[in-house]
Amino acid sequence: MNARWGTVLVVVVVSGCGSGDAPEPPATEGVRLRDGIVVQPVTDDVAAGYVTITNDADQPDTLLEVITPIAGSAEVHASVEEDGMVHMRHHPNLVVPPLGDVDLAPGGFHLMLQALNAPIAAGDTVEMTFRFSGAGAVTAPFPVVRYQDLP
Amino acid sequence: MIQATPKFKGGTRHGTVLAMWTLVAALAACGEPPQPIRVGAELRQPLHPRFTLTDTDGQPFDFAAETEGFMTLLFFGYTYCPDVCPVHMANIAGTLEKLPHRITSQVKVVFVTTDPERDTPARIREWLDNFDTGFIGLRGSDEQIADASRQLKMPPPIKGPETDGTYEVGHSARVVAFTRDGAGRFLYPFGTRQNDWATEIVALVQWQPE
Repeated sequence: MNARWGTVLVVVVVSGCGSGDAPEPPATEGVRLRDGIVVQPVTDDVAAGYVTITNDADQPDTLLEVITPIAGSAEVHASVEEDGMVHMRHHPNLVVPPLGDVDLAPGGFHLMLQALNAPIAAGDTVEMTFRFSGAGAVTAPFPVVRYQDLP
Repeated sequence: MIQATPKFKGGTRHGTVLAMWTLVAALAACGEPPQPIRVGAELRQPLHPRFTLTDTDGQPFDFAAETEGFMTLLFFGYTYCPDVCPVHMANIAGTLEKLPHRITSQVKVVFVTTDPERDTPARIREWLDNFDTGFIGLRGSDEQIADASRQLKMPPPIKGPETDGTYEVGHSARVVAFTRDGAGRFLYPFGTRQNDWATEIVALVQWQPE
């Protein structure tokens, strides 16, 4: 709950500092998406995505949402191992530290893409838009690869 | 008997990786002395589970009898899992497709679903075929799967709360390796990479009791 309120607060502060009624701050140099990939789904229900999020700003930034034309839902989940069991946890409001990275990588944080709109296959490129509280919308192309070819 | 018969899949590899694979293949072919197990964590008490589940053809699969004489990699997971499960399967499949037949013909890979409610036999088969058509998929009742888990010293699978009609299933992240004498002896954590699997699978096939 605290994280949610923190995000709301950040949004209010950001919009309060902006130039009036601009609906969406433009993409800035603040946050970059690097080495993004979507994995070709094994069945057509769910797909995973991985990326490194780099925050070049001296303030932390919070990922508010991920939007992609290929999926009805795109959330950050974490694979967490506890007592020998691995669980998936929804991880809203991912915070990227100032002058730091967050890796979405196999076995840890990943993008969980659900309600896929169309089949996607290795060789395709998918557009992903990450909306941050500070940096605004950041869009990058994510090539589709097979699990076998994950780096 | 279904054997792991890797299908060819293309892909670009760096020269160093290629050289490493060539070395692995050469070692495997020359009858070198058995290689040590380096990555797998050895269990103090080898496991001898006795369970029978149902394979994707609807036939009973007596694990101990069907895997006798093979080096077997056993993994519990579910097909709606997008991260840990397919990555494990892909790494094992990607390794097997590059190892010589004389090694892979002694290997079985067995996947047990922890989500029998959604994982139908056809769905398990389709999912496994994406990795390797030789992989064996097993299914049973919740009680049967929990019993097999307990015999493997794994906590039974835990179904998470349902949201928007979907749910996650907690399961062990580890692969259990059975040596050819039928004993479960080594555990492989998530994060075991293809380079590690290559040397480990050869070592596991060659493993001899001291």
